[in-house]
Amino acid sequence: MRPSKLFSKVAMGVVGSGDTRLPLIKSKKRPLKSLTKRELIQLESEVGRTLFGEPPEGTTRREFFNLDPKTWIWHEEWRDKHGKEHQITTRYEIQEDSVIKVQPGLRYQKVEGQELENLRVAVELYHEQVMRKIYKRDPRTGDKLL
Amino acid sequence: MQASEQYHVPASYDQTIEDAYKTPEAAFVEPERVGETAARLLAIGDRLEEVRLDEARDAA
Repeated sequence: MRPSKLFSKVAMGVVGSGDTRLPLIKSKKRPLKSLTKRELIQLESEVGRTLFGEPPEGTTRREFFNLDPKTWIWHEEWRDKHGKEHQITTRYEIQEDSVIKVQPGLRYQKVEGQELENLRVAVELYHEQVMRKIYKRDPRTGDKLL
Repeated sequence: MQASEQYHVPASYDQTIEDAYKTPEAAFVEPERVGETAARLLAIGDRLEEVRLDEARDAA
């Protein structure tokens, strides 16, 4: 795993080969009207990728988003000092009483302790900012902001 | 871990993860609270999904 300080701090890792990555949305200004769920998630990821501050040098792409109520995705791509491209995706599966991290090679790992707290903070921030910036809603009530 | 390296849920929605880590308040998920945290994450996921569906309904 890339030795990104922030990356390891926030405890984001890797996963599978499923099509969980989202293409970048080019236009900045657009109404939400007529956007599909997938497009809304793309917009959310634009916020999600900013939660971790400036990406380390060499980072070419970073995504963090909520795919569905039980799935969170972290994805990062970067080029190392030799110019070789790397990518890593982690899927966090939220269950009733636990959180599972799924990484490439079908590795499943229970998320606990500090890593779970890191994920919780990231999710709380994501929710707060996405509700306000994308949906213009109060994160607590869900009501539209005036 | 130094207190300054720990974090808590931020008050400001403009706060980044990096800022959150600088907040000198301790927070750590004890093993017995894993279920509580998972429930919180599920609740947030449900809420986001609900908003997306609501937006889609508005668009229809």
